[in-house]
Amino acid sequence: MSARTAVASVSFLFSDIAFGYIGPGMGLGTLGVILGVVVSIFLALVAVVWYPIKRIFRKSPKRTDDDRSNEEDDKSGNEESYPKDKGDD
Amino acid sequence: MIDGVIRFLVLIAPTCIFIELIIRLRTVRKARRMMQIVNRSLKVISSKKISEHWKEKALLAYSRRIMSVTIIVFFGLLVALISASSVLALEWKLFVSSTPFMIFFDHKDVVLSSCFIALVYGWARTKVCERTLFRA
Repeated sequence: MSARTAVASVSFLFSDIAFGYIGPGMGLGTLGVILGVVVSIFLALVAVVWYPIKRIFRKSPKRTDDDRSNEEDDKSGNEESYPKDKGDD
Repeated sequence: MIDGVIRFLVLIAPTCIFIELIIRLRTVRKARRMMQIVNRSLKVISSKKISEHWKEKALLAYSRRIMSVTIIVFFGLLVALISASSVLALEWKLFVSSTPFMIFFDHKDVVLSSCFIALVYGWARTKVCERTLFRA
C-alpha cells in the first residue's frame, strides 16, 4: 500500500460531511451518460481497429496457403499441372 | 424536527421542476433510444449474416448516434440539475439562510423526501394527463 492510499483511507475514516450528494435520478442519469460514452468509444474502436486488423490477419494466411500450394505444384512438376502437354508428347 | 419540515417544504419545488424538465426535455425517451441503439449494435456484432465490411460501417454509424444521444441526455440532465439547484439555493436564501446551505441539506431525509416528492408528483402528473387525454 502506498503512502497516498494510506493517507486517503485514514482521511475517509475521519471525514465528517461529504458535501457530495447525487439523487437516484441524477445518479442513474450520470451512469447512463458514462455508459453511453464508453459504449460509443468501444464501438468506434471495434469498427476502426478490430475489423481492419481482423481483415489483415485473415488475408495473410490465405496468401501463405496459396504460396504453399504453388510450391507443392512446383515440386511435383509441371507435367501434372499441364496434362495436355503430356498427352501430346 | 422543524428543520426537517422546512427541508421537506423547500424540496418540493426543485424536485417537481427537476422531474418536469426531465419529462419535457424527453431525456428518458432519449435514454431509451440510446439503449435501443446499443442493443441493435450488439445484434449487428453477433450476427453471422452481415458481412464484416457492413459491420464496420454500421458500427461506426451506431457509435456516432450513441454519442450524439448521450450528449443530448447529458445536457438535458445538466439543464434540469442547474435549474433545480438554483431554485433550491434561492429558496434557501429566502427562507432559511441561518445555517450554511450544505450543512442544512446534508441529511439523510433529503434523499428520502426528494424520492417521495418525485413519486407523488409523477403519480399525480400521470393522473392529470390521463384525465386531460380522456376528456380530449
